[in-house]
Parts: sequence; C-alpha cells; structure tokens
Amino acid sequence: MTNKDSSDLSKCSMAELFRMEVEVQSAIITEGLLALEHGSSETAKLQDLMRATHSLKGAARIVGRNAAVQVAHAMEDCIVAAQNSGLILSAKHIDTMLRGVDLLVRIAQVSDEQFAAWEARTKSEIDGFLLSLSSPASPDLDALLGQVEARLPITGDTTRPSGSKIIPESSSTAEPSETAARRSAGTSRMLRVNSDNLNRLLGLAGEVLVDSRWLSTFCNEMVRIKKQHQKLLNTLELLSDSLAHVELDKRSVGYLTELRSRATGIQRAVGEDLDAIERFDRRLGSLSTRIYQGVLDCRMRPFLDCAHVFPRMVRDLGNSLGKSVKLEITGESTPVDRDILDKLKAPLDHILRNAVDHAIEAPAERVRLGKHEQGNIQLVARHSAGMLLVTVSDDGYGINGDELRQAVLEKKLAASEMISSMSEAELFEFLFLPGFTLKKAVSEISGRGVGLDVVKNMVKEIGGSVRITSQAGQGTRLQLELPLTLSVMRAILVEVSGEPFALPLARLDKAVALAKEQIQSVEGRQCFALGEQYIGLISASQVLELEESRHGDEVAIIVIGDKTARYGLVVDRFLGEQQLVVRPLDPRLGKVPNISAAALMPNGSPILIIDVDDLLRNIENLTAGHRVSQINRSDSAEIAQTRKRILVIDDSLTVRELERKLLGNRGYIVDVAVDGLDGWNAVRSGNYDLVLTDVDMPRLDGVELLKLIRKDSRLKSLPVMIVSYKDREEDRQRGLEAGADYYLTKGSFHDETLVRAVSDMIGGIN
Amino acid sequence: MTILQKSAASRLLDCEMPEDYRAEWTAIVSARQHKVDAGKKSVLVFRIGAEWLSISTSVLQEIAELPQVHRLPHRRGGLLNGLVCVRGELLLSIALDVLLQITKLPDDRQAEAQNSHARLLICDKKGSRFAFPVNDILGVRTYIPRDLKEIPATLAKAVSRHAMGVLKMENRVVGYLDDERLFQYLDKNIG
Repeated sequence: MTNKDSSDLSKCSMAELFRMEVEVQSAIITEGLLALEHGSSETAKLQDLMRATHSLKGAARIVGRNAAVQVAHAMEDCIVAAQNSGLILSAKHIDTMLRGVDLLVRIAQVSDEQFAAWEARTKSEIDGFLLSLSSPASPDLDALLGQVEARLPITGDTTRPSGSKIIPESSSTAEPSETAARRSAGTSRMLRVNSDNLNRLLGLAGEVLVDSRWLSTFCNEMVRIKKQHQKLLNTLELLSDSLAHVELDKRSVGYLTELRSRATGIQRAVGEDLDAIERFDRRLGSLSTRIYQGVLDCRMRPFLDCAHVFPRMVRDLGNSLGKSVKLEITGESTPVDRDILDKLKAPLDHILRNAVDHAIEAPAERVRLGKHEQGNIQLVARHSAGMLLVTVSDDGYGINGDELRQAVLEKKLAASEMISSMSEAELFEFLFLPGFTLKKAVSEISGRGVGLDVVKNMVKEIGGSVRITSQAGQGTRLQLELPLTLSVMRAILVEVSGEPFALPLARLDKAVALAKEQIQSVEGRQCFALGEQYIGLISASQVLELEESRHGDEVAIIVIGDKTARYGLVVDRFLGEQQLVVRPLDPRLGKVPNISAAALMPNGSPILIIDVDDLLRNIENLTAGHRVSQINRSDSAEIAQTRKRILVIDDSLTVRELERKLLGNRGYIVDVAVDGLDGWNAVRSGNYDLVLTDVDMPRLDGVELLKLIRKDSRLKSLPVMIVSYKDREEDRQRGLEAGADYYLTKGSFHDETLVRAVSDMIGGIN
Repeated sequence: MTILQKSAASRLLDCEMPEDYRAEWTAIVSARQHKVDAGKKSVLVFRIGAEWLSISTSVLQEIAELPQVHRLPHRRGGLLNGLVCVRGELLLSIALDVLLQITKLPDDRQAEAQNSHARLLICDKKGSRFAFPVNDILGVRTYIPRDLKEIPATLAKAVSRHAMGVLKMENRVVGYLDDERLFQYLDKNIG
C-alpha cells in the first residue's frame, strides 16, 4: 500500500474502520496462534501476536467498545505472559484465544446503534471468556499441564492432548473440532518452512546448476583430445602404408601392429568414456534443473491465498452501495510466487473496489438494461506463455469511448484531431494517468483519480503490465500480466567501476552504445539525442558513489525512466543479458541506496541488482540539486504547494484514518503509510511539512525511522511528531532522544490536542 | 592361512556367545563417554596484519578460499568489504583489520592478490553469519581456561575492546576474540 491508495477509506465510519482493522489483525492473530500450535515457538511470532492484540486494544478504545478492549487486553496479557515468564501456550490457551478472536470479530460486526443492547446480551459470555483466559495464566497446575502437553507428540488436529479436558470448561468442547475443520479445509497439506532455509536450499540448487555446466566444457575438451587422437591414428595409418613397401624385420612389424591395435583400443575407450560422460552430463543437467525448479516451486502459493478475502469484500462493499454484486473466482489453485502474491493484493483490491463502485449499475438500472439484477465480477488467474495472467472483468457500464475522448479533451491532455485518430487501446491508456477519472462526483469508495495509476505503478514495479478492454454497455476487462516469479529475473548486466551490476530488463528503456562524438553538451550538461528527445547523461559511478572509471571511445548507455523524466545512465560496458536468481540482501544491512537485491553470476561471483526507482529518485536529486517539483501533473498538485502536507505513519488502520480525518478536516493534505518502511519510502519521495509516526510498527519502527530521517541531509530538519500509546516517561524520553520534535500519546485524540500540536508546529490553515 | 588356522577361526566365530556377553557390551557401548580433555577448549588461530588472533571453534563453520568480493555502493571504507559468495550463499565479508584497527603488512596485500595463505573464515553464531578474510591460518589449537591471560597494554586498543584475553601459543601472543561481543557489535553496526 502506498500513501495514496487508501483515500477511499476516508469517509468510512469509525465503526467500519474498526471492523476492517479487526479483520486484518484477527487474521494475523489466528495465523500466529495456529503457527504456535503447530510447534513454531519463535519469539517473533509472539511479538506479532502481541503487537496485533495491542493494536486492537488501542483501536477498540478509540471507538469506545469496552468489551473489545477487555477481550484484547486479556489476550495481550496471556501473550505477554508467554513472552516474559515462559508460560507455555497449551492447546487450550490457543483454543480460548481463537475464541477471543471470534468474539472480537463479532463485536466489530455490531453497528453503533445496536451495540449497547448487544453488549448487555452478551455480557455473560464475554465475562466467561475473560475468566477462562485469566485462570489458565495463574495456577501452576495448568502451566504444568502445558508442559506435559508440549512433550506429547501432536499427530494430528483431532488428537487433542487429553490434559486440556481436566479443567472443566463449559463451552470450549465444541471449539476444537471447529478449528480443526477449518484447518483441514485446504486440499493438500501445507508445511511451514523457514524462509532462510528455503533460500539456502535455493542457493545450493543454483550452485549445483552452475557447477553442472562445467561438465559440458569438460566434454568439449575430451572431444578435442579424441580428435587429436584420431589424427595420431591417421598418421599411424599413413606410416604403416608408407612402410608397406619397405622390408621390415619381424620385431618392427610386431611393434607396428601392437602400436596400431593399442591406438585403436584407446580410441574406442576414449569414445566410450566420452559417451558415458555426455550421458551423465545430460542426466545431471536435467536433474539439477529439476531440483532447481522444484525449489523455486516451493515458493509458490495458490492464488486463493490472496483472493480469499475478495468475495466477502465485494459483497460487503456492494451492499453498502445498495448493489448486489457477486465475485466469481476461477483458477484458485493457480500457483503464484508468494512475493508476487503479496504485491498483487493491493492492486486487485483497488481494481475490485473500482469495479463495484464505478462499473456495476444499481439494481434497478440493471433490470432496465435487461441485465441480471445481480452484478457479476469475474476474477481469473492462469498461467500463459510463462506469465501469470490475472483478469478482472465485470458486466457493468463499460467505458464509453466518446465520454473518454471528451474527458481527455477537457483535461487538455491531447489535441482533438489526435484524440479522434487514437485507437481504443491508446485511448484507454489515459485512464492510467495520475488524477484522471471519469467519475464526476468523487465518491467515498473510489473515483478520486488515484486508482488506476497506482495499480499501474504497482504492477510495473514487479515487472508486469496492465491492459484495459471495454465494450460500452457490456462491461470492462482489466488484464494484469505478471512474471511468474520475482525470484528469477531477466536482467542486463553492466560493469560499473570494474564491478558487475544488473538492471532488470523490464525496467529499462534502451541500451545504446554511442561514439564519443555523438554526445553533446547543453547548458553544461551532457546529453544525447534519442529520436526527437534529448536525454541527459549521468555516470553510474557517480550515482553509486564509486570511483570514476575511464571510458573508451564508445560510451555504453542505459536509458531508464518514463516519459516525464528519462536519463541515460553511463556504464563502463555491457556484459550481456542474463537470467538471474534474485537473492535478498542481508536484512542486517538495512536499505542499501540504489540496490534492491543481489544475485549470482554464472561463474558464481556476486552481482548487485539496481533498484531502478530508487536510482531515478537519486538521479533527480543529483541533477536538480534541490528537487524541482514537476509541474503539469494534476490540479491537486498545484494546490498542494499552498496547503501543508502531512504524512501519517501508523500500522493501525483506525488510528491512521482517524488522524487523516482530524487533520484533513483542518485543511491539511494528509498522506498515509502503513509502516515505518513504507513511511520511509514516502517521506523521501514526497515533500512533507510534517511527519506523524507511531512507534511500534512492523518492518521498521518509529524510532528507527526517526534515526534515518535525522541522518538524511535533505530531511534532517523535517518536523516529526510521535503519536504513541506508550505514555511512560522513558518512552517519551526515548522518542525525543531519537530526534522527535513532539511526543503525543494516542489518548489525546479525543480532544483538540493533536490538531493544536500540529498547528503549533507547522501553522494552521483556515 | 593354514587349514588348521582356518578351522580355529571358524570355531571361534561359530561358538555360542557367553550368556552375559551381549548385556556386557550393551552396557559398555551405551555408557556415557567420558570426556578425555575435560576443560580444554579449542580455538582457531589466524593472523591479520601483524596480529595473531583466535576465535572459538564453536562459531567456526568453515574455511574457504578467498572468493571475489563485490563491494556495496555508498558503503566504502567501512567495516564491510562487501558481498562474497560461498557455496551458493551470499555472505557479508567483514574487514576485521578495520574493526580492530590493525594495519595490514605490505606483504599481505601482495599475498592477498596471489591468494596464497589468505583464507576466508565463515562464522555463525546463533544464525548470524559473517565471513572474515584473514591473512594466514595457523590452525586449531586447544587451551585450558586458566591459560587465558589478561590483555597486555601493548595490544592494540581496538583489539582489546573485542577480545576476552590473550593466549600464549608457540611463542606467540594470540588475542582471543570474544565472539559474543563481536557478533553483537557487528549485528548492530553493519546496517
């Protein structure tokens, strides 16, 4: 998720936001609990659980649902006990806590109006839950039971250790079978594998693959020897021919015969060995390729893993809009690389929301048009020609070509004669422009014009493309074409300052080699002509801060960037094109500027893969000194220069949206980021006047983020405010020491403290 | 082998086992092995520049030839040499000479280029892995804890910060690196 794409949430009610957050966090909790139950004892899991329950507690407090606060609090206590005092979470604990998750989900489902009545009705159940969770934490008997259970081998979900039945528990008896059923619903058994192990295995498999290639060079060498030997044999034949006329003594004839037979013998032996080795080479080659492929396949997950949330989302969204919409998913089991799957979720969510809001007509309208009352959206995932195709098609309005032409014309994006001669495909490209929308009234779901461009960028990031086709009145079809895996990438290899670097092929425009004379100088900057465009040159060694290398008469240039900003990256030389297996960089390194990952060259030496987006940003900074803002983007960008921009970073949806609402109402432009790393990316790419950040966040926490900001020469004076649940003095101190300008506790939301603090720091609007 | 010997051998092999024979051996085999070298610990002794250093073999995973190093852009001249690949795995190569502020000998630079004695130590402590290029390896040595002496003032300051003490070995003073502290320091400061 980036900072823009969730603006459709800004008008949701707090209860709705809370419900969404409960859905997200409860999935995390459920997953974590099940992982613990399956024997994973990582402290990281506990940490995740703790964070999730903690976030829920805070969110529940904000929306004033005391019952949820109590439930979340009790669960947090239990997890903290497991973390600190080594309480072993038994199957019973897990069952009870899963029941807590269900309770939280139910609490969140109840609407504000009915909540008081509901709470009164379910009070006894909630109290019962609190009691059942607090009791296992205290008596030693149960901890002991937990230890006994932990030692028992767990053979399957059905064989619960009998110990859990000793303490009477009125309602828990039905639970285990239910959770067991839920877990065994998957078609084939899934194993949890440590990703480090998998990566290590992938590394070894890759090494075997590389090493196995050595054999074919060895075979060629043997073929050469065999040929030379053949020549030797031929010479021997010639010799014996020429000696045929000479009278030889018996001994010489004997030697000659022996020589010939031995030479022929060797020839045969070499031939046989060569055959054997070649057969072995083929076998080994095929095996190592299969092993490698097999390990790569381990990274695959069924498409449903990402799509299972959508039917519910589409249904709920449709209902809230008074539409009846059904989502049909085809290809649930299509294997997709887990990294792609993660990145696919946000854009798909976006597209589906768009479809429900824009594309599907109201029921009455549909009936009038002779369509079925219920709208239909198809989500299809399949493999085709080594790519993953994901298609979303609806049976709604479709895009009216004339309306689109009119909109393009009104926004002065192209001249009218050009528009009329455009093909449908070219015309639909406009829909991907930032700020472009056909929807007149901006709705709360979508239609702010920050939809499809975000989708396109996300898809582009992982090396894919998007296409729209549409029939007016019949519906719209969006097709995402994505690589099957992110772990293998086609790249062009170049040398910079004597070392190899790789650029993903999908991200570069052109590679050209120019004679030195073809490089011109405009206003003191080097550039060259590519078609009708002049492209500024920048040396790769300068951007990467490596020592300057000498270029020969020919200059190797890689053209990167998009239509608005293209650059020619000068490298030492091209090394060729290669399929690379992408390896993550050691996480301890943190983010290395301009580098996204590493890989191994065919000869087994390391190579670094360039992060093209990061590189472009840095080039921009380098060439512009201080960033000159791009004009001609959209109207909102111009307003942005007069209004103050605030970046809100928080992993809790509720807090994020609350802050966005509070500040947005005061006229600030508010972008959001979902965690520290997301925030760090956003803060570097946007011009913000203030950053509001939480402390406890996954991936990168607030304090670390602050340190990064304070280290950055461009950002170090940017005002940063910490907004945290932690209200102890030492937490405050820690935040301020890291360089925060202000420390605010989340309790202060309800009064004007937040808004006042912001306005004190960067000035109010109005 | 004569026929006599052969028949003696088969008689021996074919004879009935004594009653308690199996139980006796089971007891011997299943008995806990007594450590012969109780208290002895082993270290790998290596050289960086003019300093001899050692590290506990418990963290040592393997010793490899010096591979090609790929430097990381923007991270020059620091603790980090760059990335190396060992057995298909990418590891971070750490400049111990920079960390311990040891000046390399001019001979070593040449030797490194020729790849003669220089080696790469691959160490792993609780899943945290690093590679350390060294100039020379003396080998694995054992010591008794009471042989571990306090660090003399002559040892480089930075060495003493990461060392537990010194060991005397074959007329050499060998700094004994504290792996716990070393790995903690690296984990924290490598980013």
